[in-house]
Amino acid sequence: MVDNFLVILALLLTSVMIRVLPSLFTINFGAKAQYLIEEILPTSIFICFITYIVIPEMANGLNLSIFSFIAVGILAVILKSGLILTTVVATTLYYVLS
Amino acid sequence: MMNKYLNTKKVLSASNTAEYRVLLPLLLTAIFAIAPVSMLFGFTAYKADWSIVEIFLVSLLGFSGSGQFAALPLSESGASFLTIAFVTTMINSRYFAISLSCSKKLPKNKLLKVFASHVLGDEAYAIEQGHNQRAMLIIRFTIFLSWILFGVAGGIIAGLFPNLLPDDINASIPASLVLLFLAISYLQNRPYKSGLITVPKATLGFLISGLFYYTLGGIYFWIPSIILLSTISYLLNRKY
Repeated sequence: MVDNFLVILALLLTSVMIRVLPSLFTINFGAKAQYLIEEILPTSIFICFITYIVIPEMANGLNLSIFSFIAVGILAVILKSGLILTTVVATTLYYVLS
Repeated sequence: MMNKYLNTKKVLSASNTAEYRVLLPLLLTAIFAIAPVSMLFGFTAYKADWSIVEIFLVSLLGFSGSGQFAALPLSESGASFLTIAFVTTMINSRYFAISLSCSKKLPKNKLLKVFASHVLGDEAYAIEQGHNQRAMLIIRFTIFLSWILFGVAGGIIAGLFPNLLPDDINASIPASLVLLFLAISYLQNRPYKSGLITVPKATLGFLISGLFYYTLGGIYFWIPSIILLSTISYLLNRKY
């Protein structure tokens, strides 16, 4: 119980350091810094999200499940599908092919 | 200055109903996607001798997805408090940049601001883009509460049916696919229209972050990738 409680505290400390504290730094940003934080930073984060999701799957060897990622790309970019349809189609494809 | 008042005006506007009509399917899909991951966490934690109360508390206070999963084996191996804190901080280091990028949108009330920051997650961040402050809070707290609920449910199920799941199940894939869709949608919409991102720039971004991923691994690639991509992007866009 004590050990698990320390794990919970460690995760709480993590949350405070990486999520709560940065959110409190909101003042005195100039226009350039604001542009960097509100426009450029999210773009970089989303690019890293895609890398973070796709690369591990590719690193495990190119199996058929990679088609579910391609399906998401096609449905989102070309067919302009909604989130629900894309998720259902791609998830089904993943579990069928993997 | 306009941004300061934008959120309040939007919340009070007549277009709110239409906006929440758009929000509901997004939230339901996000819940559908995170539920298996959260249940798997609850299931795994229960099998690692965590009580239901502890599963509830770790989801409530230590809400961090992959960080929670990583903490389980660390805890079992007898890792110290500082080791667990360090590893989970590294795993979730992206939230530092994420939290910084949306800090302006948070409510002014300090307590609500702290809670809203604590419940920030990947899916919530991706969905809340382009939405007002109230919608942002609804998105964050709905996903957070769903995470706790399904985590506890996973623990209860593990108690009832301990051999229900195979060891090699990949329950995180729906959440990954949702995140992938939201990331692609974000990149092809807002930044593209503002000239911030183009296909060559995005390709360069994937190459750089991919290189960092291969050299530093999935835990440590976040911060250097985000810093380098942001710097390059800033320099490339300066002339515009």
